[in-house]
Amino acid sequence: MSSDNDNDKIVSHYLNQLRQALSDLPARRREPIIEEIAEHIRTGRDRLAHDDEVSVRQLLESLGDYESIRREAGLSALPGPSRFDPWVPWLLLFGGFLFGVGWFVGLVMLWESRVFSLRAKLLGTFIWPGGLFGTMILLGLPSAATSCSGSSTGSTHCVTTGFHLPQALGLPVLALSVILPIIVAAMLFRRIARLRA
Amino acid sequence: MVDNNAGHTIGQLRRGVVDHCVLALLKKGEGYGFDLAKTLAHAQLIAGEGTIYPLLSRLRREGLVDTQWRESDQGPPRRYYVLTESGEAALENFRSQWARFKQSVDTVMGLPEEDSHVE
Repeated sequence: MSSDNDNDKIVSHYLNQLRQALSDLPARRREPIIEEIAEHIRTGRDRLAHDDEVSVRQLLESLGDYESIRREAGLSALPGPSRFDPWVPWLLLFGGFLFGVGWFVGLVMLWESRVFSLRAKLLGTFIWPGGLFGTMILLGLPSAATSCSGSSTGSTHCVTTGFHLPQALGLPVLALSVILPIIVAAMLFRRIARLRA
Repeated sequence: MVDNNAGHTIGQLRRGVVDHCVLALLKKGEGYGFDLAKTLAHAQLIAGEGTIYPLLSRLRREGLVDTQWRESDQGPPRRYYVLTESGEAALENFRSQWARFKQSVDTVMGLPEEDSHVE
């Protein structure tokens, strides 16, 4: 038995996949199409005798596959991933540890690829340069050093150079700087898996 | 080169004429996307109901159809499609060309006119 919430999730997943399939279209053309298809689904569900999972899935099937909607929108067939594309997320994530060169190779492959959208390419480039190696370097920079010296009067004078993040800020920054590149890599992996499916 | 796959050929023909079928449906009166999609899918003129929306979007960009919002008893206002003057002219032009095209194909295929209607 499925709840409305489960069916909403199925619809939401369909619309997200459709948005992905139409990602080559400019947003001003893509969004009205998705909006109208969402309205079509709402109207269809209103007219269903039973808004159960089977009926909702049948309704979505009646819309046709993403490829035919994409073709009707004037887009060419989705290209399949090349044999180099699966290496891209690995190189972006860990390539920096290969003397820094691996990340640059991954970056070139990312921008040369026909399967990644402009958004994915920008995310892959800027989160983060150097991948996890870049993160490691970045986290090593904001370190503080304190040196103290005693005076003839017995007092101690300490000087702190550099800077450090307060712990409350530092931990979230650390977590984000590690998690975000992993999320971007996962997004690239998912794109390849979807094209292979 | 002759395509051995008749289904593929018909599919291409269908794609070529479906725009004008939409215009013909709108000639009868304004249409709601959902109902247009159901009608065309039932007539097997579109592969999937979702394909009607990029098609309608293109017709609107070309100025052949326009949209109007109507209040609905069943929820938020709905977008209805109407035929524009350009759309009407395009439809009339297609109708006359289609009649000639159909007659030519029927003649060459050796189909008598009364038998040429698909059941």
